[in-house]
Amino acid sequence: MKVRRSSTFCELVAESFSAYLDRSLPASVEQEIAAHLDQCPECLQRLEEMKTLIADLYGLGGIEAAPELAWSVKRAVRRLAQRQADAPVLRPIPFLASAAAAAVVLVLVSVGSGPEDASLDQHAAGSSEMQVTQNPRWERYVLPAQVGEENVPSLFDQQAAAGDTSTIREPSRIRGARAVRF
Amino acid sequence: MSVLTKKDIEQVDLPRMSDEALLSSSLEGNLVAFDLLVDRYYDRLYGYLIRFLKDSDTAEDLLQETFLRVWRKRAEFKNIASFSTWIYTIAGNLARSEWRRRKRWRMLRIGPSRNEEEAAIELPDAGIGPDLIVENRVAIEELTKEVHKLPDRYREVVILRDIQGMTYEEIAGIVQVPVGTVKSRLNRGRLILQEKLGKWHEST
Ligand SMILES: [Zn+2]
Repeated sequence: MKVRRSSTFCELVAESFSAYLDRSLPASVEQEIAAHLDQCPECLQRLEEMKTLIADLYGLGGIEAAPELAWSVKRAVRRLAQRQADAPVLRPIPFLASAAAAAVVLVLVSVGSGPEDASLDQHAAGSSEMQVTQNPRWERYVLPAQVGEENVPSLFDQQAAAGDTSTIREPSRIRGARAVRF
Repeated sequence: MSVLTKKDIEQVDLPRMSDEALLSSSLEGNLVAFDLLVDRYYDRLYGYLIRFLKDSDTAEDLLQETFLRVWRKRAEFKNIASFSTWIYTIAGNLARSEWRRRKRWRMLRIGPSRNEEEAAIELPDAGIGPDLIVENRVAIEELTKEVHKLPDRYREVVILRDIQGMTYEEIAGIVQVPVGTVKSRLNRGRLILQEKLGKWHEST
């Protein structure tokens, strides 16, 4: 095989390094590159450097986020779920279905759309969700399972009981780059 | 209510459930199922966001927004893609639009400003683990900095492929470009890094 060597061809070879390492090139192209690498120390070195680079990038691994970050996400999701549960799109009790449906219509007419789409910012600024919950008109509706207060998992009960609805922004220190790939 | 319900029994099995099954359980309002999705993904999504955006505050905000969007849109999830691809796509879209917004801001700013390209990521203790061979290798910090300086279209695929170990198909789904484009961007990103790090080597 005639081995091509020119700076343009070297560039072409470099463009194919990743595919070459993946072994995803057509056999003929792969052979041509292999032959070129035998003859071209510059390209060979560049390829070796790419292998090292890939290993180094792999070694960067994940950034371990503080668990507090997961908690604050979960709390935010609960606030959203609660707001959605408070919105007038709830499932009616089966045997009261027709009455409830009628009530929903009335309610929709009287209060317009619920707070479901209120933005996070508005929410963080202090929404009026609790007032909605306490409105007697809502009592005949069943909150979706797991969203009702009794069913909210205990993890956040204390916080909720303490009335902590502030936007949680604990500093999530990154506690160490792990040499672990996800 | 003292009787165990079907739901109570399901909760026990939750950790063994697939992401997709957890999402579908969360559709019924099961927050514990959704918590598990948060536990499974917050770490790596955070890693992706902070490496892409180079700023932990924004990464935290977007991480939260990602999960809120997943919650809001969970009924729209179709099993065409995996949950993993779907959530990364949401996070990626948020990160890209944040990045564009910042770019516009940088262009609007007059006079000298803090060069964000130079801003160091908050990696603790230089992030060098004991099992990483430092000799003859690029220092982690330098590598991290050069990854940050990559143009966003290259940075994104380098993070997803070389740091987070995703498949080309997954990345194509997340970035919403063909697999061939992912591969060529990845190669280009790697070559840029090599060139930059080569220069850095020569100067030290
Ligand atoms: Zn060559």
